[in-house]
Amino acid sequence: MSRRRSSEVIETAEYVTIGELARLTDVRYSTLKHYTEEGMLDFRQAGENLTRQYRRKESVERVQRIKKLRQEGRSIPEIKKLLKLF
Amino acid sequence: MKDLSIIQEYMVCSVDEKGKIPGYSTEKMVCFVAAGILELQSEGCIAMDGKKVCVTAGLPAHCQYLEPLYRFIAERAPVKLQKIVESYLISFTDKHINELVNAVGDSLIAMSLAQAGRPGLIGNRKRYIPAPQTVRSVVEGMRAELLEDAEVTDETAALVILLEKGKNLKPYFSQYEQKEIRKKLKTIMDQPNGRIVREMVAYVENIMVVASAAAASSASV
Repeated sequence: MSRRRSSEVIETAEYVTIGELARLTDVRYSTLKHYTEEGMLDFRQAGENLTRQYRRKESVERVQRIKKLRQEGRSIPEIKKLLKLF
Repeated sequence: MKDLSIIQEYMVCSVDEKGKIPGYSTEKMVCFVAAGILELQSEGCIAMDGKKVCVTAGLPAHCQYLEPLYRFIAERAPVKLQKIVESYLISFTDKHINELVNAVGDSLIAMSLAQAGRPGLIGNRKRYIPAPQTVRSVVEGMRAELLEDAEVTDETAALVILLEKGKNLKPYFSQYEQKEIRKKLKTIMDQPNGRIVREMVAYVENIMVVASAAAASSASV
C-alpha cells in the first residue's frame, strides 16, 4: 500500500500508471487498456506485480494523437497503420 | 487535473442528480462523516483512543473544508465516537451535518468541479452537482487501480470501502466489476501488508455499528 501521487508529481514524472494516464488525458481506463492491448501504447513492466508503466510525455502525446484521429473518423486498424508510419 | 481528497471524492460519487446525498440512506451519510474522520486521522489531526477521539495537531490549510468537523471534535475533545455520530446523524436540526456538507461542497465549487444545485424547500443544506467529467475522473481512477494488477493506494482503498459500505458502487460498476473489486479488497486484506485496509474496514464498520446503536437508543427515548 502506498499514498496516491499528487497531480504536481504526476505531471512531471517520467513514468505513470494507467490510472494516472487516464487522469492526464481524460480518457477512460478501458480505452487506454484497449489501446495498450492493440499495441498502440508502449509500456514497461516494473515492480513486484509487473505493473504497466507508461512514459508520460510520449504516451500523453500518443493518446492525444489517437483521440484526434478518432475524431476524424478513423478506425482503430487505420490508426494503428498510421502510427506505424510515423 | 486536480487533486481531490477522500471526502471530496466520496461526495462526488454519492450525491444524486439533484446534488444531494440522499437523506433516507443512513449508510451514505454515515460513510460521509466516516470519510471526514478518516481523513482527519490520516492527516494526523486526530487520533482514536479506544472509543474516544482526541486532537493531535492543527488542521492543515489544504483541509479547510473539514473545519466544521475538526472544530466540533476540538471543542469537545476527548469526545466519544458515538457523540460525534449522534450529533451529525441523529439530531433534530441537522446543523452539524449541513455545515460539513456545505463546506465540502463549497470546496468543490471553488475548484470548479461542481455547481450549486437548486436548494430544497426546507433545511439549510445546499446542493452540489458535480461536473460529469469530475465523476468520471474519480470513477476511472478507482477502476484503473482496482481492476489492474497494480498496487492500490491507501486513498483509493479507503474510498472504495466507503462507497461499498455506503451502497454506492452500483451506479458506477457492473456486477462483474463489483465482484472483482470485492475480491481485490479481500486479497489485500489477507496480505501481511494489508493492515491499513483491515483497519479501515473495521473502522467504518465500527462507525456503522455506533450509528445503528445511536439510532436505536434515540428511537426508544
